[in-house]
Amino acid sequence: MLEIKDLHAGIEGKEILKGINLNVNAGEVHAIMGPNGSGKSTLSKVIAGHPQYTVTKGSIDYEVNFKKINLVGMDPDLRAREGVFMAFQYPVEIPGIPTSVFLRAAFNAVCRHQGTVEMDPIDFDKYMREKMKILSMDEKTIDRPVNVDFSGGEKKRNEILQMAVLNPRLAVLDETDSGLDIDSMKIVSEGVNKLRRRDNTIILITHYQRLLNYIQPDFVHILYNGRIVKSEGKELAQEVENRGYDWLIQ
Amino acid sequence: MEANKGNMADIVRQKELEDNKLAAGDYRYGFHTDIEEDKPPKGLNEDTVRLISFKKKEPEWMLEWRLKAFRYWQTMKEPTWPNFEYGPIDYQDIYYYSAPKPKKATPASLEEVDQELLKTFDRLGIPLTEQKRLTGVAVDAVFDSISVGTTHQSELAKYGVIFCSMSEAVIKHPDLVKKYLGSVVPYTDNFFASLNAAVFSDGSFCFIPKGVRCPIELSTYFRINAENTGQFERTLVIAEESSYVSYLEGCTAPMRDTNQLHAAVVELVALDHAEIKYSTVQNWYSGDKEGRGGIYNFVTKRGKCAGVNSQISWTQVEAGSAITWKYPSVILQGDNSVGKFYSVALTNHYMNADTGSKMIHIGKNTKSTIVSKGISSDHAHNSYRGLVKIMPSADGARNFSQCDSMLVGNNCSANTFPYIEVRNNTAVVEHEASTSKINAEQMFYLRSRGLDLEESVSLIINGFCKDVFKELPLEFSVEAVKLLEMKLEGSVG
Amino acid sequence: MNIEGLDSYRSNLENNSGSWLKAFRQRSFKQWTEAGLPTVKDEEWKYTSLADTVNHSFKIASHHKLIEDKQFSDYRDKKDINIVLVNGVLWRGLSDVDHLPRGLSVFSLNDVIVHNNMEIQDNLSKLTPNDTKAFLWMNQALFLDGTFIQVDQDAVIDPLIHIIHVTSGIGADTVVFPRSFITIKESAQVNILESYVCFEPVFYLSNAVTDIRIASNARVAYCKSQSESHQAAHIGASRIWQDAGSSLDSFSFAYGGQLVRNNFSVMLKGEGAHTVMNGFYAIDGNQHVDNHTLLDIQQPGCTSFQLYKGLLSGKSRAVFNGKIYVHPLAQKTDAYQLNKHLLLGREAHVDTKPQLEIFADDVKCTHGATIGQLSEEEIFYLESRGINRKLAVQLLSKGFIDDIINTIKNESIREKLSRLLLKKFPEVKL
Repeated sequence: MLEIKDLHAGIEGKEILKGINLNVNAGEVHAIMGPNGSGKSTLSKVIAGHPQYTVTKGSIDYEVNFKKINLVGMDPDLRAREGVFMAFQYPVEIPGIPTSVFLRAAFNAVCRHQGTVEMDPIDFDKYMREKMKILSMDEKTIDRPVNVDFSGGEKKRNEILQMAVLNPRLAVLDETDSGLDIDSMKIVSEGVNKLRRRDNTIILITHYQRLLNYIQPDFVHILYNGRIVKSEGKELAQEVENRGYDWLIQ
Repeated sequence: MEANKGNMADIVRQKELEDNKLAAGDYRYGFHTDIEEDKPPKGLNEDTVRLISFKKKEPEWMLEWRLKAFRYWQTMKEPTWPNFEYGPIDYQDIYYYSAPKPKKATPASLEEVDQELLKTFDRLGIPLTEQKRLTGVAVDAVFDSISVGTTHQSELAKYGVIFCSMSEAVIKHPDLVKKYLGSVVPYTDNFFASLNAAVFSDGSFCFIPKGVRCPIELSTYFRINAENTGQFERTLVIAEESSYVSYLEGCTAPMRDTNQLHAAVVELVALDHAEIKYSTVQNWYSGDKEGRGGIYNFVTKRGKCAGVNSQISWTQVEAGSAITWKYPSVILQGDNSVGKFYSVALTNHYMNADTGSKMIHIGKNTKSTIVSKGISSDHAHNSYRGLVKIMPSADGARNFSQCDSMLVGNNCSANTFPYIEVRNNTAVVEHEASTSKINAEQMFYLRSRGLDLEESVSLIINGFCKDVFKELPLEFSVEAVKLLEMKLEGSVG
Repeated sequence: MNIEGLDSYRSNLENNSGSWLKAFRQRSFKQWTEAGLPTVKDEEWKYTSLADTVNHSFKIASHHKLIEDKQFSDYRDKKDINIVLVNGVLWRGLSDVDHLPRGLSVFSLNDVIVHNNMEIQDNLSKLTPNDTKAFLWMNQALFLDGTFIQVDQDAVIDPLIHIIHVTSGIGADTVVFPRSFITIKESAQVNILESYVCFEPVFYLSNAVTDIRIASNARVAYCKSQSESHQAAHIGASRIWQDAGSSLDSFSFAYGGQLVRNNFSVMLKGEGAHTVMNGFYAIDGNQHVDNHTLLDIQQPGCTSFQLYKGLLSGKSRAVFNGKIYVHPLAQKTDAYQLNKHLLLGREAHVDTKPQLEIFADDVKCTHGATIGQLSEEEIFYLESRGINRKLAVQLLSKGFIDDIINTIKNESIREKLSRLLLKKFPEVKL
């Protein structure tokens, strides 16, 4: 599904990712952990195609429906329409645009690209409200402008709602647990678990192990100074929790 | 609110469904109708004024008023503005009257109007004939210097509502015209208003009698067709005690390399407890990418809240014209009266828009609101210029103004010139303004959800202008959003 | 505007000037007389009429001695470095010019110009878009002296420099031309207060100009405190140029004067400069105060904050015209402006015109203006606790004032302004 080879990338001439290699298969959940400044958020932004980051070397091969494409250099909207999704660590506010309008515009953009039928407003409204139930969201949320005056928890739930609506093949969740109280984290995690399928892949980017108590990963990778320094099963997360990062980076 | 939200989504979809036949910046109303015109020679003198009056079979008092205005205009100087530059206007090189020659002397109904004219309005999306006309909206269609026809007149008459061309009103309702014409914008008001008073051709007249809530929207569609012609329409809306009317106005013109002058005057009068909503989508031809051609849009629009508890609101989407000079105003004379101004002004290419509002508070406890959104791209200049004046008599007056500008590209400019004059210490006046660019993080967020560049921009612009769009009647709101999207295509990247 | 004995004064002045200055004065005089004084037809003078002010037969101050010794010594603070000018001329006897800290020099402006200081010559000829040219040229043609202050590179001057312009013993209908030139070199740090005072209740015209050049990375606090006679007219220009990375914390305080016009202009001509441009006016009776501020942002990455407040009692009138101009080069500008008026007097008037002129797209500029009264709810609350209405109003006004006065970081400046304000609100212990 996703094959990252020798990926070097940075911002404003400063290299942050210094040769990432990562293989992710359909149906798997991978966690990427690491201390602050190790390049976790950069990795997610580079996968999503943030224009401020430049890839200097390497490739991000993404395979979907027996079609293999290199994401490097693709516009972010095209990636999204091919099924790549990133849940933002800091979701952006868009004043004046109701969340429902935004969601339907995005949903239909993806449908059109993939050659499936677009939904009319009534059907879409039903579809969207079903997804909201998964996340125990307040009905009124979707009438409010995108993320404007949302609490931290509401913003994060809104990210997962978008994931549920857009139904991506590859979802990168960037620090989705940050700023969440324990109840919200449970709800968000349950939502993500319900969205796990055999044909999609989730990459969890997180600083702490606690999210992984709720969403069980198949693999855990430790990112440090722009490289993956260790990859193991889910036990690694617990070990990091107990021992910290220092022992890994000697 | 609910309707509007669905509406915005529809627009997104409509745009999605539209194939990309329209090249960037195309002006779809730029065609010219080939029609035989009654067009007296160019130039302006007393005889021109007399001829216009004669053509319209006007009574003597109307001609006298025009002549007074003309004589006054001759003593005036053309104004200049610090943020404007335009070539000199040769007032002798303009046709002041141009009317399509009627095939029949007086068409008895709209069905008898010249087919070419009906086809023109069809093409503009304003079908006029009985079978095709829009429901829920009465239209007065003005083509160059004359009104082609007015729909729904007989239905409106049942309610006592008079909706006809200005020329018709002068003949059929002289007492009302005499009483109110020039009562809000006197012929001495300013250079272009005086010129208009002297040579005004046609326009619409609306009268809503006491206690009547006008059952449908009234609208006028203005079309400039003839070359080198000035368009000088004059509109008068009178809402008697406790009446209500919503009035819409749309405008287009053919694409030409030369500039054309449009100097209109609109007067609104609201008596006790009456409410007038006046909405405009202005899409005169704005010139080409190099700034050649386009309409000079020098307009005086003013409403008078003459009665207690009356309300006047102006909503405008200004997307056309090479130069716009326009400050729809409200004189808040009646106690507790309310004035509102909502505006979106979009400028691209070499357009120049100087627009805003004046709110003059005279009565007690009068309230006004100004919401202005300016979007500037390419080499355009976009200025908000407004005045809030609280007179000594206006105890307890309130004003709130919000003026936001957005810049797209680095060769354009956005200016804000609010004048606030407070002569009464019980007044509360608040003004806020901001200037910003389209935020790169917002763009990335939208694009990472699959929306392309233009869809993302249009969503952000829609959000930016929402406070104004929600004030527009539904049909206009759709048209306005489409218009902005079309204008901005190709400007962002 | 008629000035008695102008010709002989000018020829005297020009004969005592060096060749550069003589030519400069002659040129300025010509420009002034050709331009003529502004009227309400000028957009920038729309709300301030000079008709009554200039319709006098003026005379030029003929002596430069301090008459009110006693009152003045109360005014002078021993902690500060005092620089005293009487009727426009540096008065060495009262100035602390002899034992200045290292890195600080103070001269008579005349002395410096005579020695052909290029920096001054260059600067004297400069115009800003906010200048009322006629008054600037008048000052240039007729100023007699002034002060020149230089803070050397890296110098940190701890005590407050207090420039005091006193108008004294001149009788009615005099015109004075105070002038200061301050240059602050790279990475220097200094706090300056410039006061305009008069102890006589007479009408005169003070046409004052202060130029400040702030070199890169310098940090400067500058406050102009204007407490002229309540009968006087004060037409002032403060013109400040900032280089890259410098920081200015400025304040303009208007208290005295019957007719006051302040043109306060800051030109940000280096990258990443930072400006605070605050101001306050407390006026009553028939006072008329017109503040025209300009922030001219020419380079990228500059930030600015501006808060102007006004308290209007009686029949006083205030005008605020604040312009922020962002040049095409000045990307990443972040500018904020707020202007608040409190109308206490039944017949007090305010005209305000905050302006943004933006020619760069990647900027964040906001401005706001509010005009209103004290809240009746708050007054009632205080009354219900036994405070009489008059005091309640004063207490609440004080809250309004404190809010802005407390933005002044330098304690010595804050103290001096508070003492002046105490005269207006005597019941309130500040």
